[in-house]
Amino acid sequence: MPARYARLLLVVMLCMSLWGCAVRRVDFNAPIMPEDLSFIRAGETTLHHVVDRIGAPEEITAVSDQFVAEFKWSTTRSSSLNLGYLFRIVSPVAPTMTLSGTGINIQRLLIICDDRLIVRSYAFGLTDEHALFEFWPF
Amino acid sequence: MRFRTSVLLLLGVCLLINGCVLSRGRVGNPIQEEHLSQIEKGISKKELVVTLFGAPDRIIVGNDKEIFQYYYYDGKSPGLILLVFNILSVNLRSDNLYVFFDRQGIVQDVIYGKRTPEVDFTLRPWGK
Repeated sequence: MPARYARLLLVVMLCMSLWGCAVRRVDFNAPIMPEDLSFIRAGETTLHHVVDRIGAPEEITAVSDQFVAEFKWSTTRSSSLNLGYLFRIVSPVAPTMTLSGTGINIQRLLIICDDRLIVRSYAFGLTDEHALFEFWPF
Repeated sequence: MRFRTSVLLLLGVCLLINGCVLSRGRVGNPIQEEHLSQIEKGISKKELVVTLFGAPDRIIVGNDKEIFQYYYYDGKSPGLILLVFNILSVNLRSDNLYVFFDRQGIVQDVIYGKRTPEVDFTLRPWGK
């Protein structure tokens, strides 16, 4: 087989492997890392200092005599593979046979302040990382 | 020759932008920063805050304080919709303003953070 045809076949096979493939991603706010909070000194740093560095919290809640500031960020990844596209080679009508997966990683940071908004403590929520390509739903 | 070059150039540009999607969504009203300078701690009243920013999106009550929350979300979404392969990104950022009042409705504190200038049309469906 001449090299020209081999290359063409390779391109066609590559295209076929991508047929019906979709990858989507939604990012909400930039991630906050533990090292971003290394400046915090409990009992000294105020919520204003924190907000200057990492932005304002998504939510503030009053709990007994304290305020809890909740920072949230998330990454949602979704991918799908429509196997019905392969029928387009032989048929004008392509059935839908889609395998799809979605992973939502919501992450949070809680900062507890006293009623003068001085930081008392903080904690990150546990994270659960999902892979980008999750075509297999079972 | 010049006409042929122009047609080829146009065709090339059309091919490059074929399947491109650019979309934008917003929630709420942008928080006007120039209004923030008019709020003075220990002096300004609730009425002034409502006049400047309107009714709050959320009210939090506790610790002898009332907190007005205002938020604004901005999202940009680039995508590439091809015949056989689609990729799409949605990038969202938020601005939040909190105004703390005492029992008399006087401003005690203001917390404001702006992230929306960071939002961009970067297409990055993979990576961290």
